[in-house]
Amino acid sequence: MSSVLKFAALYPDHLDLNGDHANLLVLQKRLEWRGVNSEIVSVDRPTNLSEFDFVLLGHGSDAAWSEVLKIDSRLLTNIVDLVSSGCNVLAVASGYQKLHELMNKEAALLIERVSEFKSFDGVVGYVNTEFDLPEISRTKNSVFTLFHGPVLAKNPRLADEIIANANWADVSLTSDKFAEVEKLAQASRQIAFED
Amino acid sequence: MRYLPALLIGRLVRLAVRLVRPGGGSALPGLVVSKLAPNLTLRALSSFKQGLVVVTGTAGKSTTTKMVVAIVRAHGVSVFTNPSTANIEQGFFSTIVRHGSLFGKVPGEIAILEMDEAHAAQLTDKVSPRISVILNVFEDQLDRFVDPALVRDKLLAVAQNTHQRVLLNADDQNCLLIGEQIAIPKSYFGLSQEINRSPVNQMPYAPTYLDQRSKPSVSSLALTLAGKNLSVQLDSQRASFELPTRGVHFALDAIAALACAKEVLGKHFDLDLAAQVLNELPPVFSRGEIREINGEPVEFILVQNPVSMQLNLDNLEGSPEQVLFAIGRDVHDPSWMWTVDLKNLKRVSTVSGFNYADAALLLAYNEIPVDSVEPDYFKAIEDFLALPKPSKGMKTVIYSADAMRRLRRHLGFTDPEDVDRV
Repeated sequence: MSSVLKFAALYPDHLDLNGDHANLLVLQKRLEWRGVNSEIVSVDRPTNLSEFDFVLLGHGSDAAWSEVLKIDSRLLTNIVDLVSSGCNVLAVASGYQKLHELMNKEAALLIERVSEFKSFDGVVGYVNTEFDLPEISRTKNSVFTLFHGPVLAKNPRLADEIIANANWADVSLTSDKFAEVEKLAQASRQIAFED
Repeated sequence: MRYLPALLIGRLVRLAVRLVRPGGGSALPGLVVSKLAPNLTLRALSSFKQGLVVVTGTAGKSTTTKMVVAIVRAHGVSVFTNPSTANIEQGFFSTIVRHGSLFGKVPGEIAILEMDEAHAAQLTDKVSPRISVILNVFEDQLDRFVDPALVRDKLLAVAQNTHQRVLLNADDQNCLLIGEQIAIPKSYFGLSQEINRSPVNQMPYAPTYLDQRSKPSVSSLALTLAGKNLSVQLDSQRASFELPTRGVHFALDAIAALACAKEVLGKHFDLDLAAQVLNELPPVFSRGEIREINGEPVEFILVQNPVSMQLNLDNLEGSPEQVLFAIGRDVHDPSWMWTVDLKNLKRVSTVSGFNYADAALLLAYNEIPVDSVEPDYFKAIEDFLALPKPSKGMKTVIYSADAMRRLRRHLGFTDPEDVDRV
């Protein structure tokens, strides 16, 4: 592991439709508050994804995906290889769906579109999908989620799970800053289900 | 006569609501009447001698509509229009309850209405607009619209439902794609190369991820923009005037409004008169509105989507010393706020609104100091307004539409027309 962790934000102009890349900011700050430095690198056409400590594959529109895969036809295969080799990947919404289909060699089942806040395994987030997939699934050190946007801000426990699994920092280290954002995140999760 | 009972009930509901909540009552009467007389809107909107004009697109609908209405009225034409808070079908019912007769007749020779993109597609399917203005497509309300391409499809339907002319933004690739697919006459408005060249004037239209269409010939062009001063050219005529509010997006609204007014008025259109109207027009409320409260000026800035939030933050004069940041119930999924670059926000005095927790989380992870997080919005407003006057600049309220409505009602600002030009 390098002294400064490197996080890849893949195709920020295409695959950050709902603010998914903000999850990297959340990881970065939670590490920084524990004395660990990291760098977020925006990457188009990555040549060597294994140089990154963490890779985020966000959500994009159909047109955005179409252009990404036209210019980078091996992107998904390369990320599946990363997942299989135990690297740390977070895939969101359509990023999750596309990896799921490639890894399972079958199309995700279609359902009527669901657009609402949901809770799954204690994690709260907004889904806006027509694919019948579990809201969260884990493969080796990778996390796949239908919860779009800054899911790690709303769910610091999931952020710290990623940090602990990757052994980047001691997540028992805490401070007033962590207490402040935990209180806000708890309120945010509660408000999500208020009318 | 057949709408009399429904409209009578609607009027009574409005009266009752306003007795309980002064300044409120815009939504419920419309909801009641829409159930009792569902065809009322269609009939009313089909009744105008000079037809219906629709202004739609993601951003700028309220300001553009207000500009078109003011210009057309200054030319002596009576206009029926809707307030910016009533741009969905239920709002049209409310506007008719408020301004129409008990027989469902609404005054005016022409209707000029701003319409939400999805509602515009539905409504124009039933009442064909004479003219439609399609301003832009931004990434907005994705929890509702899912994909900007679907918004483009809605706007295409509006364009296809129009029978005289469609006016389109020449700088937005989404509008060029719409223009390619329609057979009826179309014209383009837009910004000059000079305005577009400046980095502060970049408009973040939703990318199409398709081959770039070349810019078509533009009949209504914003030539230069310096601060609030805008010069324009419509065909061979030129004029200049001061915009009500700073920002390139308001320049685009103004050129769209001029193009629309010219199409509405035909040979009667007087560009000098139109420029004079725009020179004196107050802002639409909360679009850079400055109002005196407790003896000091307070600026109100409405943010409705990532683009309006980004443009408004980028257009702040410096970094305001005192900010109330309030995100209300209208922001169903606050994820989009995390796509905005907050570099111009150096400090926030108070965070509040229904979604205060998400707003405060955003600021916390961006390490922007916050003096207080106050879930009770009315207390937050009072605490903020009670702060000592800032040493420079003015108190600035940055809020979403729901937080805007609640604040205006709380402070007794109930008339949407009651906005002064500063």
